[in-house]
This record gives sequence, C-alpha cells and structure tokens, in this order.
Amino acid sequence: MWHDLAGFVFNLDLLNNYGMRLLQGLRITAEVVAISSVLGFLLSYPLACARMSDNPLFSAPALAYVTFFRGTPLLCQLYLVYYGAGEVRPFLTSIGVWWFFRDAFYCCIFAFTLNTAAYQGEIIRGAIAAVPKEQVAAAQALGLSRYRIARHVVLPQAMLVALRPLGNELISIIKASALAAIVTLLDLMGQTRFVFARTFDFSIYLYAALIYLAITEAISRLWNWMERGLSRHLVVTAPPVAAVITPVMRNTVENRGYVGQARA
Amino acid sequence: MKSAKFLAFVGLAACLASATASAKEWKTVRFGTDATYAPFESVNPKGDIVGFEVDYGNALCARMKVTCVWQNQDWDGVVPALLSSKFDVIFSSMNITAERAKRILFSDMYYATAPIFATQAAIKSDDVTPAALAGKAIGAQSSTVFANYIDQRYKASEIKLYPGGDEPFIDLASGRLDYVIGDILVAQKFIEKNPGCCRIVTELKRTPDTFGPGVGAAFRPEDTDLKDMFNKAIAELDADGTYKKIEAQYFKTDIRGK
Repeated sequence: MWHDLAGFVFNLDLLNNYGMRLLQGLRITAEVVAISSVLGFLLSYPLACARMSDNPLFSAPALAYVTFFRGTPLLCQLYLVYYGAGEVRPFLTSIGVWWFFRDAFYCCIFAFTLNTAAYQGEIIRGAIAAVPKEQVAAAQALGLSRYRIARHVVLPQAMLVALRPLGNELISIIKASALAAIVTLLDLMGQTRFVFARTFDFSIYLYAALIYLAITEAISRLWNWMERGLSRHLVVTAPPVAAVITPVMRNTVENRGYVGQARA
Repeated sequence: MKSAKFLAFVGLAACLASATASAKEWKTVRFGTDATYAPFESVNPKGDIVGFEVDYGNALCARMKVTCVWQNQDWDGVVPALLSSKFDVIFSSMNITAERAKRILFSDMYYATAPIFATQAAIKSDDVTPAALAGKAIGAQSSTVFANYIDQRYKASEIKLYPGGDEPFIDLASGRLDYVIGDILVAQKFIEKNPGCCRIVTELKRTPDTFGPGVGAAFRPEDTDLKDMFNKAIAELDADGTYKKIEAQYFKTDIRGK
C-alpha cells in the first residue's frame, strides 16, 4: 500500500516522459496570465474612475460591466467569446478582426482581460474610497491641482491598500487560467489533460497542482515582501493595512465559479 | 476482550462477505456516457440523455432484467469514473483498443462505423495524407482513437483537441479548423443540422492498431460477470431482431459490423 502511494507521488518515468510538456504548458499559462493581468490592470483605473463618476453616462455602463463580469462564471464568459465569435464569424470577418478571434490564445487573453479588469477595477475603486476625504479637502485647500492630488495624495495611499487584494486577484486569475484548456489551448492544465489522456496516470494532476501551488506561493511571498517594503512608514504609527480594507474590497476577491468541465 | 475482538472480526468479515455477495447480483447497472455525441448520445432540450446507445442500452437492460441508470460524464473522465465506481459500465461509443484493454474490460463489439476526415465545404481537395495536411489545423475530441491517430501521424499539422465530441465540428463550421477527424455518423448528423458548412472527405480503414474493430461497452477488470451478462444480451438482441429495430429508428445504413 505504501509502495503504491510512493509510486503515485514519485513517478519519475512519467516526469521523464512528459515533464517537458508540463513546462511548455507552464509557459503558455504564464503568457496568458501575464498579458491579461497587465492589460486588466491598465483598464482598471479608467474603469474605477468611470464607476466613481457623478455622470451616469460613465458610471452606469461601468456598473453594468462590473456587475456582468463579476456576476457570471468566467467559464461562461470564455465560451461566449470563443464559440460566440465562431457564430458571428461573417460579421467579425467584415470588420477585420476574425484573425484575432480565430485564435484560442487571443480569445483567452480577451476573456480573461475583461474579467480581471472588472475585479481589479473594483479593487482600485475601493482603495481610492478608503483614502479619507479630508485629505483631498486639505490638498484642495493647499491649492494643488486635480492631477497632483491624485498623483501625490490619493494614489500612493490607495495603491498600498489595493496591493494585497490585487495580489489575491493575480493568484485567482492564475488558477482560473486553467479554463483555457477547454478551448484547446495547451496551457499547464491542457498539457496535463493531454498527458492524462495518454497515460491514465493521475500523478500528472498531482504534479500540475504542485506547479500551480509553487507559483501562487511564490507570488504570495513576493507580495508580502513588497507590502513590507512599501508600508515601512506605517508600521509604528498606523493600524495594519488589513484594518483599513473596506467591506467593498473584501468582495473583490470572491471565487470565480469554475464549474468543472461542463460544456454548452 | 479476546472475544470482543473476535466478534468484531467476524462482524467485519460478514460485512465484507455481504458486500462482495451483493456486488455479484446486479439489480441496477449504472451507465456512464458522454452525451455530446449525437446521434449516439446527446442531451435533448428537456435535459434527458437520448440517442441510439441509450435505446440500445435500455434494451440490453430489459433483456438482462436489471434497472438502468444513465449518468452524463465528461469523456476525459469516463475511464477514471468507471474505475472509481462512479458507474458500472461505459456505454459511450468507446472504440475497443489494445491500449484501453490493458486497464478496462470490453464487451463484444456492438457497432462499427467508419472514421472519417471532414473539411470545410470550400476546401475542394480530397487529399488527406499527412503531407497534404501539413500546416493545417486538424481537430478531434481528446482521448479518442481519432486524436491518437492524428497525433501519431500528422506531426506537421496543428492539432487541436476538444473535451466534447461536437465541439471540433462547431469549430470546423466557424472556420477555426481546416479538418476534423471523427465518426461518420456524428459528422453526417452535424452536417444535416448545419447544411453547407462542411463535407466529408474520405473514410478511413479500421485496423487493429488504429481504430480497432469497433465500439464496445467497458467494465472494471473485476466485473467479468457483468461483461458476460452483456455479451449474452448483445447476442440475444442480434438474434431476435431487436438490434435491427432500434438501428432502423436512427440510421439508414447498417452499423452492426462483424
């Protein structure tokens, strides 16, 4: 029995034969996550500003966007982009963007970016809201411009509050990226499924899980380190960062509803 | 103390004995199928699993005097689900191959249809050699004999594997794929529903080292009794014409194979 267990955990043959495949998959996973997280981050600030705008022309669409992308499973969004694009191919061809949606890689980037932008946007919005209004008022009293208030007063404090939930969001999108495998992308999960189909050897899922765990753990440590570095000035005088996270922010890192491998 | 231990041991042994005894008498047989494979098995708008294999499986159950229960299961997971007793038989157009037979037990073959290449209607060439398809995107359902076939032979093509049986055809219709390899009847069913999208290029020969002799029901290696029950029922439904009757409801051609 113990021998079976050892054979399951240390399956060197399997690693020897298919280890390269997992590493190739890891590269695709890293590319998808890196590109969509960065693009999502770039979209998040304008989105947060639109959400907080007094003009309903901006705030209403932004609210609808955020509600849709946070309120539906990412799997469903990915299917909508991938197979939905296939359905309306003539239209996409006529406007010259079919080459983009033809490719599973771009479809994943597109769906993941839109999804993470919604989450990151809410994180940024919550973080900005956490900066006391009196500080803005004081900065205005000093005659600072809107840009300088944002750049020197609000954002430095807001980003510190946003850092932790943004890290959680990154970890969450890494795990969610496994969905890419169901639209034929050979990411880490895709390669794992491929190897399993070949070998029927469950150990491969264990190795894939360990790789995901190693990445998320590394990111979590990197984030601790960054947070310590950036919040040195707060350690003695202020309460810990967690204490100033508003209820809004806690909502931003909820799970993404990976519903197995269900299909349309 | 000693007697208490002994009693516990007897109790345990009795439990084990009754567990194995009840496993021998099949009252209910749980069927696992990946219902993305019309006309063999698919989910209808009401949410029921329907198709040729469902009707045929139910007829086998009636003959074996057992109750059938159908479960929908992702194709990638059918073998693990069978081995971990989530159900008792895979009844899902599984081709009998030597590779699979190392891990699971197959009944006699109950249908054999031709594997085919399908392509977009606009592609006129009938050449499907690996050289002709170099650089082209070929799709198949993953973990199938079709996926293995292209994976081993079409090294220069871009191979895309899908979890479901209908998904490669959907992507062929949308133009993401140049070719799909799959079952002829599944392809015909899809083309019938999506006229003009695509066409069947050529039928491929079944050989023992590619697609195997045909489709069988699959069991856990220890369930030889269940396999024997199925084989007997399969032979009986052939003999009394039930197979022909069910087949005629779904297909114009004979799929029984030899």
